[in-house]
Amino acid sequence: MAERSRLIEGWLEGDVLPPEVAAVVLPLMSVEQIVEIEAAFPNTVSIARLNEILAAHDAQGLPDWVPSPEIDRLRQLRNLLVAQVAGAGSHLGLDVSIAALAQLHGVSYVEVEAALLVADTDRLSGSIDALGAYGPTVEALRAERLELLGRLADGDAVMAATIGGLIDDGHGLADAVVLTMRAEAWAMTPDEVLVFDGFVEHFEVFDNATGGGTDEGVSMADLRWVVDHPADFAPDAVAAAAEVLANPTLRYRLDTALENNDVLDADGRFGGTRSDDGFFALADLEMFAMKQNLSFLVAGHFDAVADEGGETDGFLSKHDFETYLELHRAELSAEEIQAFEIVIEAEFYDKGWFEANKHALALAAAVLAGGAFVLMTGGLGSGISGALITTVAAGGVGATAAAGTTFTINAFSDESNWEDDLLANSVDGFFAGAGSGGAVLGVTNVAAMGTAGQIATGLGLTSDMTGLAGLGAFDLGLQYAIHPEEMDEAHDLLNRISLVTGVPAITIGGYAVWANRFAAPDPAVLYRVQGGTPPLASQSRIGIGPSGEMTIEGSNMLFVTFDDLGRARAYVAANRPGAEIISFDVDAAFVADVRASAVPEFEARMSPGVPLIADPSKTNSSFGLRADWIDRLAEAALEGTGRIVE
Amino acid sequence: MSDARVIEDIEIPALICQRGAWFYALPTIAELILDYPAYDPSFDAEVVGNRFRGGLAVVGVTDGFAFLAALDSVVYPLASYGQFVAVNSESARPQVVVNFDEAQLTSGYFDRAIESQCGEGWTGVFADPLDVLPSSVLGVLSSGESTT
Repeated sequence: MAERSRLIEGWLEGDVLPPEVAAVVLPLMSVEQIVEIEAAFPNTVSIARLNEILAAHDAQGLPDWVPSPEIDRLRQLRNLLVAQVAGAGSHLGLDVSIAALAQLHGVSYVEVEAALLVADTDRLSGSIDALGAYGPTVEALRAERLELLGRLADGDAVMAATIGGLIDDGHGLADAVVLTMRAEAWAMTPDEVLVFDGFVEHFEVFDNATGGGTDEGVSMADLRWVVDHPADFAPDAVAAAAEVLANPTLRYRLDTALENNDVLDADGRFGGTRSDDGFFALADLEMFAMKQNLSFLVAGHFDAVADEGGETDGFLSKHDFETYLELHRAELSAEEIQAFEIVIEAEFYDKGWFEANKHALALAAAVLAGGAFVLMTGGLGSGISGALITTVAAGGVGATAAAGTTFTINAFSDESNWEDDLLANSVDGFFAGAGSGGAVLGVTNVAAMGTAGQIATGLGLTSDMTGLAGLGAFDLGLQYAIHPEEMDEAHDLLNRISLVTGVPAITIGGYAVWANRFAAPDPAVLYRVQGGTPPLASQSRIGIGPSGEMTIEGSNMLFVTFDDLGRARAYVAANRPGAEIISFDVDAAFVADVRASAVPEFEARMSPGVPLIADPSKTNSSFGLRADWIDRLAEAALEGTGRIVE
Repeated sequence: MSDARVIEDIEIPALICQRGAWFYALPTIAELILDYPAYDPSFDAEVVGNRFRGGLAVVGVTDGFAFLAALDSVVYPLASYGQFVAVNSESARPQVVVNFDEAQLTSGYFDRAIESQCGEGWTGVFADPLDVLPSSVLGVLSSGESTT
């Protein structure tokens, strides 16, 4: 027992675990399980010490510290611990069940939650299953929109001013409407929407700006590279990069979209005052879209949630949302229930984000819902919206495309037929509805369309105008999340999503599918330049073992590059002629961990143990790995894939 | 009292020459990148402040004393080299020479092109550091290695 206490103390000293977690979980874990977790998060000094201790004990034979033979439950605990350590944004705890934990301890769910400060445990598992539990009819959704129409009155004046300004700037009316709606929904200015669209449109170009392979993300260095090398890129891509660089607030919002904390901002522009890692992954963009789209379903309930949820403390806690959902489940639409569940599961209530943004979100909800209804019901509208519908219905094709296709540019070019079908049907649905003097045709002709067409027409132009943005967010996720072999599974998921229909459901579905990328992503490719002639030579530290495994000599800093052969070749040509390049396929999850953990090189002394970002002006894929990460690299390398690059 | 300690994995043994005086040092690679802002476009000197290299984001050819001061905690008398060899054996061998008197950085570190990140006024060379040392310094190093 003394030894176990020492272990726990070591973890606590390294700030590896929140004390609450350590106190409850660690005593229940076997040393082997602790070692497993250590392997996932070895970047602290205390972990290294722990490893040494455990290795010594393993050699001697360990006493059985596990109080329960129920290994599966302990495995859940392990996952919970991993999720805790991983922090926000991790999906490693996907399969963790709080209920199982409660059962294990013989306490209530709430008690476990309070004790463990659960953050990332079952954020997705419930939502996926929940999708299948809903099958709202298109009529029900329409009725909901009708009820929300009453809020439009407050939104019309805002819309009119914004739309008028955009028309003055040279935008067509339809484009102006689209931009205004999207801007309201996402708490952006219309200009920021355009910058965002430009960013998404040229994402792939930016991602690969410095040559070599893509890494599904855009760094500040990528953007600067494009701006600094205008002759190498299309003018609109250069302009888009410059716009993004000139708009730090938007960058910060996207950069911090994966965080669930510290997003308090009175004007609804969460995360707009600080950067995160300066690396904009597709996941950042998707999460941003999801949060904003999801919010409009929930924002209208904030006051009631605060009043009825429990303590009137002005804070919309998880408990508040759960209580309100329990009390009003029968009254809420399937979409709203879904939204509430996601809020709870994904912990979007955390840190008061909704509370801080409720006014902007309520406005967005009114504008979106009302606008969708007016456009959907054609001439039944009145006032500004009524006037708009005629024009939009007559010529709204370009507008919708402008709203949605920027998101979808890369999403429908792969092998998946159903992806194409989704886009085609969605756009067709809108065209049918808008192009025939009102969306009524689209609504009444639902049966003639595919599932995705029903999504578009069922929600009217909300799905299209804000809209296809939601679809785009979904598709962005699909593009990089789904391995070709996983398409069947994803197709099934899409069918379940279609039961719910609508932007929130789609983005939620996208979120769920997105999580799949953690299951079986394509391997990354590691490159290392080594060789030379002594004394000006690198140790040939990476080698190919007799079974095709990766061997690594020494524990000093090991510099490697992932997925950017171009950079490796350039280094040889410019700096180390005659050197060789060795490559290995490597588990993509490991590379993702490296990227997530790496810090700029100047922080080396301040950040013991973590990977260092190397040569950032040349590539965003070179890293210096330290001892613990070198061990992990050897484990992550795929046997039989090592080779010398010609 | 010995200065010697285990050289950390992020440290690159180096020799620094300023006004004819030679020092043994254990800077990081970043600390040897003399023009760091040019190397890392995301580096914001105002934000980082003194946390990196004592605020010396760019090391000019006349910044020898400031450079030594910034690295003070990892700068040692040349004569202590033998002690580092005793603790670290071959790993203590200098891989970089920063010679302010000659405005030249010589790097034999294969994995990174430190010599290409020197900045204005410097000459960066990829060569064996021992090839550019005066005999007096070589003698100290040789003595340190032979006495351990």
